[in-house]
Amino acid sequence: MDSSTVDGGASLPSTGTDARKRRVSYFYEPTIGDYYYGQGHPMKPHRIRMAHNLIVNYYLHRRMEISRPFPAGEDDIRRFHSPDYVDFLATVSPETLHDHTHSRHLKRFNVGEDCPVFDGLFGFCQASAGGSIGAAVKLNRQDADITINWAGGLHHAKKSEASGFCYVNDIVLGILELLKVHKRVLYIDIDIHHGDGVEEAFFTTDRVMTVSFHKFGDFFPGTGHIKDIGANQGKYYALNVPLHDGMDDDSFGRLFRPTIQKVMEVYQPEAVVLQCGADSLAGDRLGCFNLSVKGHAACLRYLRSFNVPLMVLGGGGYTIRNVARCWCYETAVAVGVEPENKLPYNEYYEYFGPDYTLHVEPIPMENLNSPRDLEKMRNILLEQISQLPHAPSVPFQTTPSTTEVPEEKEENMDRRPKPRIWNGDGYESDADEDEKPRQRSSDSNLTPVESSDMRDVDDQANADDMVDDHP
Amino acid sequence: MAGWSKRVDGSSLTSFRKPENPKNVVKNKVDYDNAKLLFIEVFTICLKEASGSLCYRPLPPMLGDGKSVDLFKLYLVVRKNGGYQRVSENGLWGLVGMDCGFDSSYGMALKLVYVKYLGVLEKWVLRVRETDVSSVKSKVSKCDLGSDGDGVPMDVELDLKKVLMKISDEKAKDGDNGNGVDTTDGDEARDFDGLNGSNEKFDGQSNLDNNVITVKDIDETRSVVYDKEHLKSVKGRESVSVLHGNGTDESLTKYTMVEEDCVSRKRKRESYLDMVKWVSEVAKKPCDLAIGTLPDRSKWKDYGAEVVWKQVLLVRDDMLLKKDVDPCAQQSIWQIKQKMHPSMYDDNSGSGRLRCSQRVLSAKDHLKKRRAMQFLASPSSSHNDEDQADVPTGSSAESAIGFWWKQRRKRIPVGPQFQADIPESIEEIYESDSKWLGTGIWPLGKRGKKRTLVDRGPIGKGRQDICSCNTRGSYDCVKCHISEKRRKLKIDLGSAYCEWKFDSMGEEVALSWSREEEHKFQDIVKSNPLSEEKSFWNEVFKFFPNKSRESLVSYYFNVFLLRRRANQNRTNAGNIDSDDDESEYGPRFDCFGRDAKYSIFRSPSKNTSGSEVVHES
Repeated sequence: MDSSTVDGGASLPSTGTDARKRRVSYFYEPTIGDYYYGQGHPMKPHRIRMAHNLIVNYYLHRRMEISRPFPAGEDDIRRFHSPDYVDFLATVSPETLHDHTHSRHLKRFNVGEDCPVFDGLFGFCQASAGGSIGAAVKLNRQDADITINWAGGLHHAKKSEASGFCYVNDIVLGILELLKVHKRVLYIDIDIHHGDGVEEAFFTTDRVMTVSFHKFGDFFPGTGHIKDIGANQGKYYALNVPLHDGMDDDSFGRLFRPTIQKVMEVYQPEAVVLQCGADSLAGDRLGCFNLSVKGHAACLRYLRSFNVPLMVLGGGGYTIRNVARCWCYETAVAVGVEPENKLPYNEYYEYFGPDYTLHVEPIPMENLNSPRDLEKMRNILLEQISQLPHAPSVPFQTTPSTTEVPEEKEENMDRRPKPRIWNGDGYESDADEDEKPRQRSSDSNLTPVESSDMRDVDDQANADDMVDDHP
Repeated sequence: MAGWSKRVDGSSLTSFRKPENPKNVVKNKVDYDNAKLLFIEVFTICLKEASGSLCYRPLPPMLGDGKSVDLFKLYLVVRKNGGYQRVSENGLWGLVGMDCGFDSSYGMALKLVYVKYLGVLEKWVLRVRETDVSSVKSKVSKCDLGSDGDGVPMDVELDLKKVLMKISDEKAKDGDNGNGVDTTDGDEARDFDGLNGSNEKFDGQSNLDNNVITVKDIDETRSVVYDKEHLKSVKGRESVSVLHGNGTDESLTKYTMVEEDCVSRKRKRESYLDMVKWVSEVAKKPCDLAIGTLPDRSKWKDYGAEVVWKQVLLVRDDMLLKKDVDPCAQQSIWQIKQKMHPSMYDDNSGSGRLRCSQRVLSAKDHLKKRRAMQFLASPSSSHNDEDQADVPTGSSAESAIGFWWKQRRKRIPVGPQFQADIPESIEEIYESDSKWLGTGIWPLGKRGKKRTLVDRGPIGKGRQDICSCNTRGSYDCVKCHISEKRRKLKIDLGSAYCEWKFDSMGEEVALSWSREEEHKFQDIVKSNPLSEEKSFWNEVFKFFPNKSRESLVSYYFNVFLLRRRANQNRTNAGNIDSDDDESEYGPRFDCFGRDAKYSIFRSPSKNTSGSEVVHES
């Protein structure tokens, strides 16, 4: 793929060169890989462990702050979910599954088939939700520019219903946390399935805009019609991009970029949440798109270029070796590194055979989305976005503070967050050290690593100038 | 005739945008509109007469500078001034231009439009005046039998006149009562009436003095052709994305036939008019509570065929659906699970009322994928643009997207039990519980930090395939390099190595297993293939009572599958879709959530130790 067309930065005036460093904060629950949905179930939390393993073996952790999430409690989960549903999730177990009290709830909460009750179910939900809430808190505190939680992104869960392998909607909980500080939050979903749980949760508000790219037509979950644009206050604040089988990098990028650019322009979100469901990759067990890892990550790369606080979450993804590849590569994109294609030796090395590479080629399959239709789709979407009030009138009240001067406060909050730029102080002084071995080995290693790291060095030097150029 | 749809919409809209005193003029407005409808019918037929069955005249007619002409208004104005002949002779076209809302310089352009579009109509009207009423009647009955005789337009013209008369009458009455008769439309109609006084004689048998004449009173003179025209305008107003061309006509005809079977001709005609009225009402005032709520499709059969909305919806259904589509094929769970009526969220103002929702219909549109592809591929799809008015924008980009537009929709429920409670305001001083920051593991704190001289390689570095192993690429070679890497990593990560549980990733997990145990595990899995709906876990748990579920699953992912994959990579590289325990079962999950026959299975408990009691599942 031609990187100049796909990987280029956004053209908004507030964004600069894409390669500048971001402070990245990453959440990882070390026990996540041991949760098990059951034999034959395609959802495997093990993939998150595989991704983490790759990330660390590429030494990407040195560019990040990594935390173990605090498990979200029942009260925290109740901020979105209904109390009886949370009670149910917190108490049900395979042993008590068929007790009278629980069995009658199974159907009501849609628990059983797709969403089995497995050992440690609630702990899994707590870890996933805790990571996403933590990621939001980090952004709220301006501790980080990008936060990542690959255990999150469970976008199907409803207020009182499990759905599509999702029980607790960590995304909604994370966005609710973001809304404490940010007036407008943009949610983007590139999972192959429609982000129905999130859309539904924010269907009637204009403080969250949801944009979902998904396969539509005889496909789970059945929502995501192009005509679903939100309701009441939230009318026009939901955007749906229904697609056919076989979406490839090129088509996806040509739809994604102009759409998102326009949304960013018009909606001007103060924070962005990107659900990176990896089932839109080529060769997914449940999916039918044909994206390469690079094409998938191009979405993240593009969003990163806007330099708006960004939360990156996982989601679907059922060919686990590719999920690990994808999320590892996207972590690298977040921290601004271009990893080498040959995978480093790692504990799960054999999962990635026989080629043992980071990237996978798209599979030969027909793209049922014709360029002409996609162009028309894009025009429709741009039309829909243009229905948004250009200067978003977000219902927004500040409780008058007795001590604060209101104007000043308003001004601060109205302004787009100042681009936060890596100032050279890493989470560890390692950032400096890293340069040295690379410099030494530069003769033998003429690889993408070189160029990207060199670019970073330049950027560091220019960082201050850029602040002035792009306030 | 796709142009008509626009025309109808456009004209009724313009007439309704005019500021009017609602109380006094509502009835006039309605009648004016009825007259306009009739005019359009007459005009359509005339135009067909003039230009053959295919009409290529653009509608609405445009003047040179792009302004559109309201034909009805032009017609009225010219007639007021004595008709084409007289206007031309007396040089009144400039005046006509002004009366039509342009300035006098537009006279000649309007003359051209009149000649092109309305000349035929006027000829018809003149002929009507010379014809005896009774002969009209007889001709009418002839055409009723199916021939498209001359009587049709005459009769329609009669009706048009009747309604026009009625408007004038109403108008006059209003004027007498001193109510503001300030609408241009009304004035025109009255003037028209005055100038055409002779029509009274001609229309002797129709109760001109009777104000009760309504559109319904049109007598039994319209032909099927006329009905079709009506239906087409219905279609246009509904703004449905319909495949244009033969298909539509077919379905229209079909529908007409069906209707003929059950209702009498007279009834039919009335109901079509009712239908047009109803649809235009809905189109004008979608939020009008008077229109009421439409019942769910499942209840339609409880209503008789004479119910207007039902007819409209049926017509549309018929036009939308192709015959080859199996109506049951895709009546999936989606619809069963539909929780709330669309009207609940359609509009802020529409409290529970359904505005003849296209969505209901599009939701019933069972398009099959195959057909959809045909549609997308069809070169003729570009002809649909004009019918795609349902696309919200009127942009030129609708046609191919019509597929998505017509797809069935699953409703998004709205209500406090579905949406999240949004914090009302943002917090001035953000206070978060620091617990959410979690436990920082990396970078290492002072405690875990070790300065080492290990060459860790740059960030993002991959492997180098330079090794001195005897059997390069063999499982042993790889194992060797992995453990080498592991050692490096252990030093680099320090305390994080264990905190991230790298010590229980990969082959390391096998260290706590004896060779016999490993063999047994393998045997159990092999003897219980999923293809026979067997769960090997039951056996595994039985056989390893001293191992926790957690450690068993861990072994499965970290060792067992890994080794299987390693083996596949070296023997069966062509078929490597086997990072899954159930690779041969991929297709089963195609539907993701419909077919989940596999039993619920319990993964290892997080908090139990090795002595956990094994449960049968």
